[in-house]
Amino acid sequence: MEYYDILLIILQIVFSGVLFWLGGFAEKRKNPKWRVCYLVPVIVTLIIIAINNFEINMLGAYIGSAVCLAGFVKESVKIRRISSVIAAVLAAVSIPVCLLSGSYRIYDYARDFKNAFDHMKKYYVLSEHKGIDWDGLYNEFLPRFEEVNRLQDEMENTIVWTEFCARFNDGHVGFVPSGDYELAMTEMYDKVLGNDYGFAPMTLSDGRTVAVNVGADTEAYNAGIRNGTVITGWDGVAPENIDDEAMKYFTFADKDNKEFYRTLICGGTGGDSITVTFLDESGNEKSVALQKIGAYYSGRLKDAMKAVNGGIETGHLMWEEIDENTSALRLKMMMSDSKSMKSDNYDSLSWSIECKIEEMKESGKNHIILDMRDNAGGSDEMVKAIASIFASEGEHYYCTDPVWDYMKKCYVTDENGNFVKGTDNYYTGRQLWDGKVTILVNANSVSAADHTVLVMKELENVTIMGFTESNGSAQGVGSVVFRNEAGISFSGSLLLDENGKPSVDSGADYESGNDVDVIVPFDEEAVRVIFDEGEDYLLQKALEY
Amino acid sequence: MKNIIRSQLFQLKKDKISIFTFIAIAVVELLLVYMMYGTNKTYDGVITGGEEVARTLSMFALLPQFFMYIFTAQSIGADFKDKTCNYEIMSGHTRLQVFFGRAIPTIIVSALGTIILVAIPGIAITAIYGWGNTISVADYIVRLLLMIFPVIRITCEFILFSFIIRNPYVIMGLSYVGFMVLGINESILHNYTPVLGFTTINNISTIDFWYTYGLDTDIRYIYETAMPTGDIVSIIVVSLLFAAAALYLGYMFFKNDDMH
Repeated sequence: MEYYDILLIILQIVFSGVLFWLGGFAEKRKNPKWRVCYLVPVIVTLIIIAINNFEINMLGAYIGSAVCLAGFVKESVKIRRISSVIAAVLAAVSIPVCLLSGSYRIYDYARDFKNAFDHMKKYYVLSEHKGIDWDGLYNEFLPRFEEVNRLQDEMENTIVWTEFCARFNDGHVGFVPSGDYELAMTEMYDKVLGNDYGFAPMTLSDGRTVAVNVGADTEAYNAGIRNGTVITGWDGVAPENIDDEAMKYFTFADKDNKEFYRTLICGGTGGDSITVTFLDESGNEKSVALQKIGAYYSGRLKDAMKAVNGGIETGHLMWEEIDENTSALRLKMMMSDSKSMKSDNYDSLSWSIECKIEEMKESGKNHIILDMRDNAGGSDEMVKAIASIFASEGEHYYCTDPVWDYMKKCYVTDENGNFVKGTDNYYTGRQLWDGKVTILVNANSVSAADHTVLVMKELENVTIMGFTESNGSAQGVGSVVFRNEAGISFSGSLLLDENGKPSVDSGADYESGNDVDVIVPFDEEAVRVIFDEGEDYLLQKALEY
Repeated sequence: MKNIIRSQLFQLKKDKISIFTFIAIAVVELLLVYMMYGTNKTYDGVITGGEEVARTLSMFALLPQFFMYIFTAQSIGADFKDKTCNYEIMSGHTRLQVFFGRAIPTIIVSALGTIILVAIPGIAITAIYGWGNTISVADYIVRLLLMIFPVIRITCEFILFSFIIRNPYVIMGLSYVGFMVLGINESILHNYTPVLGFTTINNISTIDFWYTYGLDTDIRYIYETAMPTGDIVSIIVVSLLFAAAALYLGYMFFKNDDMH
């Protein structure tokens, strides 16, 4: 039972005892003022309900406090004592009722879903573009949330929400559980991603699947599987046919990005043991039965993802001297200090980059790397501030704001259902750097990072590279917060490209419009460098390119 | 009872404290409105009456509640202080007449005065800049009219306290302390059940919104002003029940009170 409910019951019983005694005391004193005390239980009950919300199973205690009012209305000792006893009994009865009832303080997860769903259906700007089947989603997921209501399982709620959000193929549609986000998501992935068999499978650019992140002293290792070992079979099926049930818990806005991670994410698929076939050092096919080891697959997946996706290990907005020609700026998000964020003015950031550029010119450096891997996005003004430094002088197109209907409170569409273009947005190039610029991205480079890719890939001296494209989600975000502080975010503000289509975000074809210049092949060499040597392969490629 | 009501209304015209309170709250609201919107510019565009109401109704619904407490305390408590109630009983009026002769005009004036004060900022902005199309007038009026019910409820509860405590300044002090203590508790302030009158007023006056924005546009707010029918019914029913209970308890106390 909750603290305030227990407190209320205890107070109710104590008040009843006091009021029982007071009935006789007031009679002896012949002072009518004492009857005011019979108001106290009701006042306290109302305050506690206000703090902790009404609960139907506590009705006994609530009615008990109201019964005490009889002592206020009637000055009879008998009535006061009887009402006090009844109040105490009703309060006490609330305890077993609350403990035995299956509906005590249940949280209505289905209500949150309905509320959020109504908001999304009304305000999600990519409904038509992505061909969202709202009725289908509602019919599929409402029963699942009703089941969550029945189970009162917050973990299950997180799982269902994560699955729901992944259906949109939009990096801006996501669920944030209440409490510690990292902990909640880790626990969720522990539950849904299956077992750890000692290594993670990953598909190379040439279509072969190899082992990565092989654990030392695991059964897999002892059987001869190493980082880069070709896996030819997974529990009786080809690796490319591994059951991809686990993919439904991950959001990818682009199908190529999804395909890149598919085998890796599904590497926990299987029972207590699986049979893995692989090519040994001699090229012979071998088979081994691997028992699941203690830890969840999610931990191994997380380590593998970090190795593949991880950027330069330094702080946000920190410069790293890579070699005699190259400096790298780590951009973990498109936000800087609080003052800049508040005023949305990034002159100070521009100035600091300009100073660095001057320093680099003086020392003869000619290559800047902007490491935007795992960049979580942020401000478009910061995008403009950075792009303007490297763009040629003059105006450069960024994107177009659609026309807004202030009367109907919606975006204006034409007779064909296309959004009507409004104001074009530009930024001014200053060309402060003549040297080479390489931007590193991955599938987690999202939102304003997608914008950065969009505007800077047009620049001549800029090369955008990664194992995958950037995320492919560039619309403005809004959110709905639930009563338990959980919430969902989704694309609520629209940005168009020159053709009047939603900028960057993929449509029903699942192809985002934000191609990078160079897709670095994820090959055996990449596996060796990343997993055996622990080096930043993508950074090495950026230096070579 | 009619005479008591008339005398109460006459007394109201002479009640400097209540009149001063009403004017002071109105002036403070107008000053706040000027400070916030005097230049006719907000962060995201030109202000209109509808925009002001949508943004700040919950804030401007707080201040007038002080008028409610002060007026009720003064209207009831002052007559106990100067023994007017005693004289009325001695002159032959029944306790019922004395009680409801006070309660009825107090409820009416408190409700009207409070709602007028809530509406003043919106009226002021509308008079200068127009209503605009942020929210519909009808939805705003529905919320204002709905607010009358918890105002009546709170007034009746304070009538009960006034008949018990009988000292207007003690009642004013206690109401201020209670309001502040309850008001700083986040979970109380955002309680969705119509348990307390002032949280009900807060729920009615808080208008949910969505917003969109562009790269080179102001933020556009979309206010969801329609209230669910179930919420409206529960607010009305609960408010009237609590009001009736408070008046009943107040009368039952007064009926047997020895007036010392």
